[in-house]
Amino acid sequence: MTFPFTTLTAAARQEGLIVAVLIGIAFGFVLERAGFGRADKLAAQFYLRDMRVFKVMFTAIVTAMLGLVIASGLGLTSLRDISESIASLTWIWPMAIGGFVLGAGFIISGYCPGTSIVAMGSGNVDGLFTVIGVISGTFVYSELLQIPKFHQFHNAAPKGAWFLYDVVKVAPALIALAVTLMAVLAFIGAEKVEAMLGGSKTALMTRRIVFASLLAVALVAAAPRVRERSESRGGAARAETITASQLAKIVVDEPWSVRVIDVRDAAAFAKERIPGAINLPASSLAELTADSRRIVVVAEGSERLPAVESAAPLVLAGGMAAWNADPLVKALTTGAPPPPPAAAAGGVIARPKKKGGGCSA
Amino acid sequence: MERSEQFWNPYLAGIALGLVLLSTFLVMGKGLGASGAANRFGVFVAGIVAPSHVAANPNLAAARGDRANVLDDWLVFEVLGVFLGGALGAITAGRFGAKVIRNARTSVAKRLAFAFGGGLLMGLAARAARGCTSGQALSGGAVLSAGAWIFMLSVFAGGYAFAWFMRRQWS
Repeated sequence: MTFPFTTLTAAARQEGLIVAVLIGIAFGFVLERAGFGRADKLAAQFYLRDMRVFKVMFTAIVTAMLGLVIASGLGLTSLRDISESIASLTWIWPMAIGGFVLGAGFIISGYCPGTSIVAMGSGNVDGLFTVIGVISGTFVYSELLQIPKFHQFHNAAPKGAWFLYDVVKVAPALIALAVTLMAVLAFIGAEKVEAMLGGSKTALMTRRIVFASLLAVALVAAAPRVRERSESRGGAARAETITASQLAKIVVDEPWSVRVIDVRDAAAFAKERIPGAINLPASSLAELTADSRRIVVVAEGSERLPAVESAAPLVLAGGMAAWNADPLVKALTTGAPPPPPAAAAGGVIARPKKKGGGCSA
Repeated sequence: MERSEQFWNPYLAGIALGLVLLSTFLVMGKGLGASGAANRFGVFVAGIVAPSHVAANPNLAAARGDRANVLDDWLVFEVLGVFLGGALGAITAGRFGAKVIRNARTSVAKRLAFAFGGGLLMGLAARAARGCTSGQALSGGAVLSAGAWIFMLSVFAGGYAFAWFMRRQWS
């Protein structure tokens, strides 16, 4: 596995942040040239005059998706691992309602959060006002999260790391093929609607070449792999688990959303532990009081999973052994194990005071 | 057509955007984003204006994580790049300059009020959805996250649902 590079490790953080700026410049430049720095061009999508937003967005999604399928086919990366590192976990209700409200904000402001930054960069004062609005909105949300009912909504219907190939239980390559096919059909439809409404038309030749290329790449890259089993979380009968990569991502990005309970003996815990973990005997798991944080149980390896009865904890798949072997964990930690907490040996539990959710994206 | 009105073919722009996205995946192990940086910037400003307020709200304090500065995050640097890249694109295309994008029926004040109000809604929504059109729909969509696709379809639904009410601003 070559990718992802360990760009943001502590040792290479400065270089990683320089790369981040360069990536941002490329992102902003392409968005500007696509016409996304202009509110009128973006809003036209919702009046079917110019479906640029849809075309650019889905061509980009298909391109990056096929690129990942190819990279994982060549053994350069693990599709599931890298996808879990990139995507956020899923909470159905906040995402569905959030999407609807964001769509409303989009047509009201004429921008989405990313394109408002491009608009601001190209001198549009309306873009600047949208940026200020977005910043204010994210801030107000933190205030709303203080309300328990709202906090409940924020964490409603959690699905964990959930991908389309988990939902329909087929090979990721087959989904990629289907998405490409649907995108191309939708592009052809979009061109027809634009032609009917007399909107801007894309050169026929370019269109044909792009559509044919996307389909050809999808067929060559994905078709041989449509019978592969997805590396999904397995049958529903199994206890709910979380992979080491997933847990590493949460521990780094939103440590306040999780309680890591290590049920190994105190000596093993003192030697090495997951950052933020607390040490408890397996027998006391049932006594834990539930709060908004997910509980993750860590054992030595998957062969020694403790019986748990408390508020639906996730079990770290493969235990501490899997954690130590995980490439993402290796990438995120500097190499030296964190010092054991002073209280560990005595079994005194220092519960973190932080409560409540948050959001990294 | 005037030079300042020329844009890339949307499909070719999409491929370019897809390649930037793919590089980000492979190099950073992360997706592109925008609203996450907005959140951090909000906490940063609040930390200067009212530090005790930030300390009292764990949702604000948590944004900092274990770093000394809430702005010390890759997304903040990426968004700085987006701003520079947007400026670079506009300058080289001859459409850089202070202006308000609006039609004749919409006053400047009204347009800016809508821009701010829509932005406010998007800021709230992006926090609920754990990302915006960049971080969630584009990046999550490309890795086939089920939540990202739910979000994406909802964004289009929301946009079309409110388009009629906003038609005077965009006609």
